[in-house]
Amino acid sequence: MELFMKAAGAALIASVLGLALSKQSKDMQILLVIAGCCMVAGIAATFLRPVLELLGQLQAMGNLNSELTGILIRAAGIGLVSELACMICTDSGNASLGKTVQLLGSAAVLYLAIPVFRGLIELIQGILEGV
Amino acid sequence: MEIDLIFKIAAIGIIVSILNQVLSRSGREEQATMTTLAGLVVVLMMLAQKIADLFDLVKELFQF
Repeated sequence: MELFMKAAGAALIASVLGLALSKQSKDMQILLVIAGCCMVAGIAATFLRPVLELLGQLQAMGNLNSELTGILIRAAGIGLVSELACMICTDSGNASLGKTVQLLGSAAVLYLAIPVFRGLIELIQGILEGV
Repeated sequence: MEIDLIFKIAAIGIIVSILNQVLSRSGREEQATMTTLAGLVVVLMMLAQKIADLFDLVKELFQF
């Protein structure tokens, strides 16, 4: 948890430095915010790694289809990256760009979910043929 | 944790803004603009590597 405290402190320092820079050069402030976000997201990834390993163990214990669980994990990753990009774009005053990145993330998740939907349709067809 | 990068960017930003003020007060508007642009490019080059590292980490972590 020490790493979490350090990350929170670094984010606060980046925020204060960003405020100091905002009056002189707004563009440099945005770059500072992006650097801070990258650093904190990297730390969040180190916390997420054991969670994902646990998910892998659960998948192995439950004998689940690795293809389908992989889609879920990838969808979570896409969601995190698109949310981060969206927030940075919104902070820099480009809300429309941020919303478009969110739309891109949603489209990518839908694209990833095609095999799941295909599987569901085949399952429903199988059930209906059996009736 | 690389908090050095945050301080580096803040320092470059402060130096660039001071240079910008000095150059624009002395009537060298073009050089002030070029200095600001150069500072931006330098910071952007530093940041691009970090963004690429983050994306690689996410790719590896979420099995892309």
